[in-house]
Amino acid sequence: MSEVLEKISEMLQKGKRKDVAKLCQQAIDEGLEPNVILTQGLLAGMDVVGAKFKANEIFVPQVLVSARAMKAGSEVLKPHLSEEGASGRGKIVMGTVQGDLHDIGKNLVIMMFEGKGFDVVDLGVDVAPEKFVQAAIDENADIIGMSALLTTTMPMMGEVIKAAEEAGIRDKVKIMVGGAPVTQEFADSIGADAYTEDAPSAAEKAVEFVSA
Amino acid sequence: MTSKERVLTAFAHKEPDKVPVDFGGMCTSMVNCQVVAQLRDYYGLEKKLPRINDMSTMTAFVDPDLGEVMGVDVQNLDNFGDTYGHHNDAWKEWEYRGTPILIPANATLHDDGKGGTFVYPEGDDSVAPSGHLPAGGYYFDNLERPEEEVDEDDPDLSGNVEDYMLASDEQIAFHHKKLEEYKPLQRAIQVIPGYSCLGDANNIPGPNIRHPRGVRRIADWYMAPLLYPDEVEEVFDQGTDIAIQNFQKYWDEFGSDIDIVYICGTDYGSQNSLMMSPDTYEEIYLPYYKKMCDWIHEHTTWKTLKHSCGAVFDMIPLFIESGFDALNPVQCSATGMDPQRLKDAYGKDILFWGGGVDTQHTLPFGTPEEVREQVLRRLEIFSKDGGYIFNTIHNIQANTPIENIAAMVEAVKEFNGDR
Repeated sequence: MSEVLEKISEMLQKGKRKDVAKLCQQAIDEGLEPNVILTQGLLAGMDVVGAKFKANEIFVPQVLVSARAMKAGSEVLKPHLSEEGASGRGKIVMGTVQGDLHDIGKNLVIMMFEGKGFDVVDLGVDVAPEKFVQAAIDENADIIGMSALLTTTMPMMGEVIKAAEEAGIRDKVKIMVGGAPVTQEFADSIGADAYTEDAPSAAEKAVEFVSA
Repeated sequence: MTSKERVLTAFAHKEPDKVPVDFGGMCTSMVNCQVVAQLRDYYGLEKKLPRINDMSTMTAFVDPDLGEVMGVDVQNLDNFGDTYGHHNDAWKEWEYRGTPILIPANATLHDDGKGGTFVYPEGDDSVAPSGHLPAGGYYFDNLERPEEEVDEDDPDLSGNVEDYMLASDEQIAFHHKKLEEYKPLQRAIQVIPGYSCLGDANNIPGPNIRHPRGVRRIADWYMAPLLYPDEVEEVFDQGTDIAIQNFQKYWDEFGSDIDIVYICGTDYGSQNSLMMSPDTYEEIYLPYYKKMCDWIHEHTTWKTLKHSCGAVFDMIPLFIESGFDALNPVQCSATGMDPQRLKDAYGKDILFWGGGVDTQHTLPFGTPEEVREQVLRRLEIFSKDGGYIFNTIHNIQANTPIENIAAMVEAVKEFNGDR
């Protein structure tokens, strides 16, 4: 592997935003394919970050700093990437359920999804069931991802699944749920397709779904 | 034993006559206001509207008569200000999810146009709203509205120091009045003399500040110790000085009538892991906590209380080293936080305040019998050799079945031989 790609991955893991942007530019100037820089530099780095986070070797602050470096690198690459870009792995619509305004966990999961090459439509917080479903239809999404921090708002996840059934799209999308109070048992009770307990596992599960 | 003696015995890591109990004794052992109204009905107490202690959590004060029937030993010296800078000394009526309640008279609320409600810093609606209760929601959550983004090459975090304020004469007078009311109850008194937290996520957006400056987005704040550690330490250094001035003032004014000081609510754990590395805590946070706790232990008779949610098992030795006498809410539902494991590892060195029943699963969604069993089991583990105050894990949330809360209260009485 080219030295500059390794360096990009390394600096991304350290969260060095300016270095990552500079190295991405250098890689382009050296004539490397933008897609290669993305997958073998930036995404390779994020993979390591995800694995270390899952293993409790690093924590939320380091992931946030690395994600910020990834964004800086992506911005350098963006004008050079084709329309298809690096994504194309699948599309995910993602949001925090109605009545709930907490989004740090959701944003971490989005970073991990993007780190696996998914195209993510972030619906934000306090998202009504019909908005999840409409977005899934409009975006032709493969996956709906839902987050809740509160025991009081968690039941809204079931409402989203009901709305998806009523709209006739339930068999076209996989539905993933997560958040502090959510458990596998709860996910089963509302008929979700997957619950994962952390952001990197969510991204791995999403890859399984679109590879199946 | 009086309630006060019972609590202080537990702090001395000796077994009191009964396990001391807390409901509503401090800011993270509160009860949702609707639930307070339902509990008053359930216990047949005088009809009165719940007074909100903090508009962010929409929890209400547990008044002395409700505390009495629930068997409490800790008394909260009412917080004068809340998250949004409202003052808890004058009231007006408002309706929360169909329940009439009392909110601070200086709160200003506006419809968000979608069935939700905005709240403003110190009730000032000439500036942008700082909190939002969405339609169907239960909490006012903070809105992030930094005046400008921090310049990374020349970071100015002086705005974050504005969170630390000297206790006003008005607040001191309010607390004298409250103390006069509560002292005859002979309970242990807990107070917050002023904001002394090191970067509590609840306060980072500056919900009580009209024009918040500095690092005011929560995700940015989590990154700040990695990106500009010196500037973060400067905020903590100045904040600690102000906190200690408030401790001095409160010691001069109230002395040993106060028993416990709530120092900080910053969460270091998430559901499954720590929120930061122990190294970061040790380098950037610990020295300032230690300065505060050491001052208190050298100059007063008070005990210090730290709140941190989450999977913090590996961080507890550092909390002990920081000088904290008690840890709340002891989130046994988080990874690695098994009650017996906690008690065995740290029970001699820190008082556990909470952990009594799981508020994420058992209390809201279990049966009364499941609640009873869990409460009895937790009491058996945690209460051995003192060092324990019974409380739910964090505030009792809206929609919690009253029969489950009653089953919890009865189980504690059963364990204590009061039934």
